[in-house]
Amino acid sequence: MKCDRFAREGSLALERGEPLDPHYASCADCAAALRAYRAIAGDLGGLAADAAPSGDWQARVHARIARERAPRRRWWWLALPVAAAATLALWVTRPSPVTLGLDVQVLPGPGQARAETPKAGDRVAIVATVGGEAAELRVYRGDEVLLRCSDAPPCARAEGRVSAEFVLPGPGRYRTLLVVGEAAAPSGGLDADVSAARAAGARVHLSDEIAVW
Amino acid sequence: MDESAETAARQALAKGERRMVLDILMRAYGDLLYRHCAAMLRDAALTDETHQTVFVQAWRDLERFKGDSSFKSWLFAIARHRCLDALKIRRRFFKRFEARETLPDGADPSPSAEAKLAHASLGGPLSRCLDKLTPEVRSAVLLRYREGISYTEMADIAGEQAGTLQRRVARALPALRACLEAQGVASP
Repeated sequence: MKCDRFAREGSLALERGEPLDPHYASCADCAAALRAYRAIAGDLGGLAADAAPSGDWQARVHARIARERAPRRRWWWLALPVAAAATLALWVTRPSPVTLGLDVQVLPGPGQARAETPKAGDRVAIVATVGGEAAELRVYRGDEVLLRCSDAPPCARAEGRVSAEFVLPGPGRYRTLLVVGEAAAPSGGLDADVSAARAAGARVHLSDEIAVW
Repeated sequence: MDESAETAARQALAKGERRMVLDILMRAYGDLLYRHCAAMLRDAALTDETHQTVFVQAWRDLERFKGDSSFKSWLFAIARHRCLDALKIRRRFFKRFEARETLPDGADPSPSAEAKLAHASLGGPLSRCLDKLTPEVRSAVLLRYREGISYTEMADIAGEQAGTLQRRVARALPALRACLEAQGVASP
């Protein structure tokens, strides 16, 4: 039977740098194993001895490092100034915001002195600031529409304003409604018309009440 | 160990000259590490790639080099990791590759694609027998007998106990002998 003591113990003793006991010299199997061990160890020393890197390998290492160090191209750094410029251009060229307004004044009728309270025959001067938007003026007495116009008489439109003049016909509670945007036709009273206009996306301005007794 | 290179590299590192350190190390240890990687990987293209990666990583990690060990040991530690990683990746790749190409029933299973590639790039019965060892054992055997590195230094490189490495190598060489004999290579 073949002795395998070298493989079990002797090789480890060698690796630990310990002296081998006399058995390994007297046992033929172990002596052969020891010779083989030393031969293989020697052959391992010459393994890949002729392998060599390519001539430009150091340059390749530097090139890889340079690629790592180069800042990554981030397209959004280019997009940022473009977006900023576009935003600025839009802001500069945007249409000036128009402050919508409704100014209603009661003026005395022709040849009459101004009274403390409005009275029948007084004129109501209406000026609505609407810019370039579509707009409609209405005057209600209660829920009744007495005046409705936009560009045509009795309204006049000029320089972003719609104006009209209206004579108070008699007692009642009068209110002027400005509808800017798509205005639905009057359909049944001031409150309902205001709600309908808002629901259609229009902006609505309502004047204070003018009460004539 | 190249003492003059080690000294020059330390001086350059102290001055913050990382590129100079890298150049010194590439000149001093480039060929040595290449041969080590070649013996570990047995694939020319993989060796080229891994060898360059070792130095790219060295450049990256230079700031963390504390000087507790020699540059040589430090580089071998990097090389050991990169070679083991490369072998792992290659093994996974070929496993997937082989799993997709199912052999027909009764076909003679030929050597794996990995084995074919490896054998085509670096021959020799000893190399083929080394392939049969696990990568960790192969690494220990090569560090000990190809590079002639002491177990104390190997322990630093591998991050393992010297005794563990000694047992690993002591078991591997008789296994290599058995493998060589099975291939018809007579023992001396």
